[in-house]
Order: sequence, then structure tokens, then C-alpha cells
Amino acid sequence: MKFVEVNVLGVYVAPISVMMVAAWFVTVVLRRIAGRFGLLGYVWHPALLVFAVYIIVLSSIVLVIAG
Amino acid sequence: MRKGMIELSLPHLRGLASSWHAVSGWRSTLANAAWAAGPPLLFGLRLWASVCLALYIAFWLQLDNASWAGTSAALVCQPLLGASLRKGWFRMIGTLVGAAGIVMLTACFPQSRVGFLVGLALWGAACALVATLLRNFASYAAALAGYTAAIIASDELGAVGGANGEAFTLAITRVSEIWIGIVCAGIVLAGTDFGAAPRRLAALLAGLSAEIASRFGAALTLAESALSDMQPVRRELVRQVIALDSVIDQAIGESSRLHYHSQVLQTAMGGLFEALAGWSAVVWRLARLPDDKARQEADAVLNSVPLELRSAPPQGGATSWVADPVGMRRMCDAAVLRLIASPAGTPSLRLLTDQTARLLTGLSDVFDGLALLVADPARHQNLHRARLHVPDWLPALVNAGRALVTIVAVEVFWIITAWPNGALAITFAAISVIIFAPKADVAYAAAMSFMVGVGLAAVCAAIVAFAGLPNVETFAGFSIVMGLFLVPAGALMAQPWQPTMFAALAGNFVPLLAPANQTSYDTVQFYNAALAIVLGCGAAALSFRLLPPLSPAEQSERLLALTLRDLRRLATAAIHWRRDDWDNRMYGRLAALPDQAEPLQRAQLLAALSVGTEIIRLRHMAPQLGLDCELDSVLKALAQGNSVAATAGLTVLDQRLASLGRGNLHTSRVQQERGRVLAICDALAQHRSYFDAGASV
Repeated sequence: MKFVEVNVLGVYVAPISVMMVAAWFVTVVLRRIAGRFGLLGYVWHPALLVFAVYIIVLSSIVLVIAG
Repeated sequence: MRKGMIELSLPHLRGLASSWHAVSGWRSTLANAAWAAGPPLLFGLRLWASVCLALYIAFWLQLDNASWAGTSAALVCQPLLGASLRKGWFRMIGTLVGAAGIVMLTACFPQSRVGFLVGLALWGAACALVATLLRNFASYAAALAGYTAAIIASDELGAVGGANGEAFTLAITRVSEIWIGIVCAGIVLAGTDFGAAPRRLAALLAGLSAEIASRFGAALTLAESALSDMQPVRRELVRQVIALDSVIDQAIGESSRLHYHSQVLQTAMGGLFEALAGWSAVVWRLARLPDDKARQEADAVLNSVPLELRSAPPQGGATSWVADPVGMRRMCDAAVLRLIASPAGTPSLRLLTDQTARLLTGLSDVFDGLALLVADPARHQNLHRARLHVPDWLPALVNAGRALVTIVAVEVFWIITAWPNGALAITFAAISVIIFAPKADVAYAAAMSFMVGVGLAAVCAAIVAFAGLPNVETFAGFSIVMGLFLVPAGALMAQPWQPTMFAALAGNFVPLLAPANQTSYDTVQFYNAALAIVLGCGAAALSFRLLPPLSPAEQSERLLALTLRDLRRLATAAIHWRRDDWDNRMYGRLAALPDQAEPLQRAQLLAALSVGTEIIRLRHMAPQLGLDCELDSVLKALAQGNSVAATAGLTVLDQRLASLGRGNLHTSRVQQERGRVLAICDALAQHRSYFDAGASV
């Protein structure tokens, strides 16, 4: 069983919440890179794209840990 | 030796002097800081007292979920007294409507989980729609009806959805708890702060009207070049009048007498718009006249305006206006009668006198409002009922759609994941998505601040719950521990930096802590509840990002386009509006203009108000003078967005009126109508691009 509760300052939190925070940090970095090269300017709905990327990153993290 | 001593002492003396100055500077800085921190700290104490009183009563009555009493007390507490008291009343109404709604929803879908959850989302969407359509605290009541239903539903729903049939009992209990909180906060706030909103409103009304009157007086005495210099000032004044709306609502919230006569205050605000419209029309006319004629006609009007009005001190110094508003109103009314009765040799002079009378009538309405605020003559009767004029339906529909999608999305997530605290996430998603919907372009930032505030509240609640509360056994000890958090949180909420975040911090602390008669210290339960609340708020913030509200620029453009559409409908007689209907509709549009709107856009809306008013008057007059045909051709051109043809038609109409005037039949009446024709011509010339715009919404 790879999904075990994580001890944060004595409180056991669900692994998904840690993965969600990690995915958010990764997405922030990707968004900064996309913003630096002006890639978001080519997108119809930048916020929707960033959200979709976040879901992809989160799903990837879950699959990697599960695998 | 002596000289040497002096030479040695001087640097020391200088050092001592500079140290003394530094100490004095520090002392004055500290004194100023203490003086500035006083009111916020006092508010923090009030917040703490309200929450503790509400919790004490709820514990004493042994209600099953006493934390909602403390939560509602914390949410009702606002730094402005008027805001708090009125919010409290509206909160009671909203809570009741929400409770009734969820009971009906449960009755409609007793066995259908999908029906109940979709119904809940639709109820939330309807509340978001109404919350956007209504203004200020009526809007807050509608939002409350939405999230009260969500609060009761979260208690009612089982682990994976579906009503458990205890809706009525839960509704009674939650409403009782919430009302205890509202009443406790109301008692504490009303007993410790007597408010200053009516005085503040009186000062603002007096200041704005004094500035309009004095600037108008200056416009009549100054040369043509100075007239154009005043244009930015006039447009800025329109913005300041629009901003009065929330202050009026706060003042109404502090006094039941003002609430009963609220229409007088709304009329005062309308009076300021009328005064500005009249001032604009006078300035446009003077700018189009040759210098000598402009001087001559301006002097003729100037003599009819009382010196006390046009020499009024600028904003901030209009104390005499506040001191005797009844006398000033009498003076205005007398001046209006003088202006109407004064003979006018030319249509141009007639226009100037009529528009000046319009300005003074507007100021008279303002003095009426001032009299209500400070002098209270026992003569006001609230005969007119305010009608709701929706400036634009689109923002409300967008907000309703967003609320529906968000609540449904969180419900689906909850069902798929079978998350035990999913119902709480739905509640807080509904709260955020509904309550921030009317904030338009700042909704996302506010929702994010709210989420950050909730996150901070979760950390603070964890510290208090697991480090503070286990060490106390009495209610007094519990209150002291609560005070350690609530007093600073309340003080931070009352200062101008990030008030939404600190309001979320103070308001969500109690539900996160969830104090009960038998407190449990279950860390897993606390963590799950905190996560559900933060994720619910996060889902709402995300929804504002993915389905953004209209930008201020889009809102302004839509309001202008809708106004132009209404004006054209008015011109084609597709709609028969009375003058009051038209005026109120336009005041609603002006009030809905975002603060970021261009000054020119405010001026265009004001011009549309004037043109519409004159069209209604001319339409009323035309059959009596047999001028239907001429007027119809003018209005047809106006409806087609052809201001050149409309101006040509107005010239023909003016000539026909002039020929009627030559026969000495209804001479003064004819001059008045010619003045109106001229006023429309001036407005069309001033804002030709707007009136000719082909777009229709």
C-alpha cells in the first residue's frame, strides 16, 4: 500500500492533500515558464488551460506513486 | 577656559537636543499609533463579546450545534454599526427564506438523491441571481437564503447524499441558533456604538450639493474657456454621487426612522443626478453661444439664483447647509418658482432658466434628504414604493450559471469520492460562490482572500482547540482563550488592509473550532472538517477564475448600449414610460456603473437621461400643439441613430414652434418647448458618436 497517511506536525493527513499541494507548486512553475515565453497569449482561456495542466500534473503524481 | 568649556559642551548639547527630538518623535509616533489602534481594538472587543454571549446562550439552551450561534454573531459583526444592524435584520429574513426553501426542497424530493442535489444547486443559482440583481443588504439577504439552505442540507445529507427526512427539525434548530447569534451581536453593537453614518451621509450630501452649486455659480460667471475646464470636475462629481449609494444604505441601517423614509434619501441621490444633468445642459448651451450673448444670458439667469447657493463653500465647509436645510430648501423652491415665472425672450434663455430650475429642484430634493437626516421635520410620508429596475441582466445570469456549475461539480466530486466531509465542502463552496458573486471584477481576489483567511483560521483554531481549550474547564476560561484570538482578529478586520481575509479569519474561526457542551479533541475529525472548508472555498475561487464575471469595461459598455436601446425604444414609442420610470431606470444605470468606468461614459449616460426626459415631455406636448408629425420624424431619425437628421428635424420643429409663438398663443409654453428642443440638439451635438452608435444589445 503506497498511499499512507503523512505525519504533519503530529497530525496525520490524507496523502491526496499532500499530492494536491505538490501538484500546485509544479503547476505554478509551469505557469511561470509558459508566461515567460508568452505561450499563454495563444490560448483562448488561460485559466482553463492552467487548471487542466494542474489536473494532469496531479493525476501524473498519483499514477507515479501508485506505480 | 570658559570658551573651551562652551566649545566642549556644544556638541554634547547638540547631541542631547537631537536625542530629545528623537524621543519626542518616538513618543508622538507611539501616541498616534495608540490613537489609531483604539477603534479597531474596540471593535475586536465587541466581536469577542458578541460571540461569547451568543455561545453562552446557545450552551445554556443546550442546542445541539451551538457553534452556529457564535458563527453568525461573528459574521453579523461589521466594523460599521449601520452595516451590522441592517445586516442583522436582513440576515434574519434571509435565514428564514433559506430554511423554508430547503424544507420545501426536501418535501419535493423525499426519495430522490439526484433531484435533491440538483434542486439544491438550482436554489443556490437562484439566490446568486437575486443577490446580484438586488443591492447592498437586500443582496446579502438573498445570498444568505442560498447558503442557509446549504448549511441545513449539509447536516441533513447522509454520507453519499440524499435527504434524511429531518429537514424541518434541522431548519428550526439552525434558524434558532443563527437568530441567537444575530440578536446577541445586535445587542452588543447597539449598546456600545451609536453610529455615525447619518452624520457622515449628511456631511457628504451637503458637501456634494455645495460643490455642485458653487461650481455652477462659477460656470455662470466665468468665460467660455473655463467652462471646458470644469468638465472633468463634473464627471468626477458624478462618480462621487454614485458612491453615495452604500453610505445611504449604512445610514438606513442605523435608524428605523430613516428606513421608513428611505425613499427620501434615494430621491436626494436622484436630485444630485438631476442637478448635474441640469448643469451639463447649461454649460453645453453657453459653450455654443457667442461670447457676448452667453455673458448676457448667463447674467440674466445668475440674478435668479440666490447668492447663498452659488457662493456656497466647497466640499467640507458646507456647515450652514447642514444647520438649516429646511430654510435652504425654501430658498431653492422660491428660486425655482422665480425662474419658471421669469420671461425669456429667446429659446436659449428659456433653456438656461429651465435647466437652472432643474438643478435647483434637484438641490431641493437634497435639502429634503438633509432635513430628514439632521432636522427631522415631521412631514415625510413614504408614499412611493421603490420599483426594482434591473440595469443589466447578464452579470446576474453569469453569476447564477457559475453558482449552478460549482455546486453541481462539488456534489459530483463528493459522490464519486464518497468523501465523508464532502457535504461541508458543498456548504462552503456555496457560501463563497454566492456571497462573492455580486462583487463583479474583484470577486476572484475576494474569494482567494477568503480562502487564505479560512486557511489561517484553521491553523489558529487548531492551536486554540488542541493547546488552549484542554487547559480550561469553565466558560470564563473558554471566553478568555477565545478572546486571545478574536480580539486581535476583530481589530485586524477593522483596518483597511485585506479586510476580506481578516473577516474570513474571524468569521470562520468559530465553525472550525466547533465548540460544544461536550468538546471532543479529535484531530482527524478537525483536519477533515478544515480540509473540507478550505477545499470548498478553493472550488469557489477556481470557479471565479474559470467562469469570470464581466470586466468593468464590458459592464460599462453594456450599460451604455442598453441605455441607448431604451432611448431608441422610447423614441419609437415601443415603450410608454412615465418620466419617473425613465428617471429611476437611468439612476439605476448610473449607480450600476463601475468605479473604473471612463468619465466620458458617465457623461454619456447623464446626457441620455436628459434626452429621454425631454423626449417624454415633448411627446406629451406635441398632440396639444398639433406637432405630432414633426416630432415623429425627429424621433424616427433618433431611433435610427442618425443624429444629423434628428437635429435637422428638431430645427424644423423649432421653426414650427416659433411660428406658433408669433401668433401669441401659449407664448410661454411654446418658448419652454423650444428650450427643450434646443436641449436635445445640444446633447446630440455634445455626444454625437454615442447617440449615432449602430450597435444594439
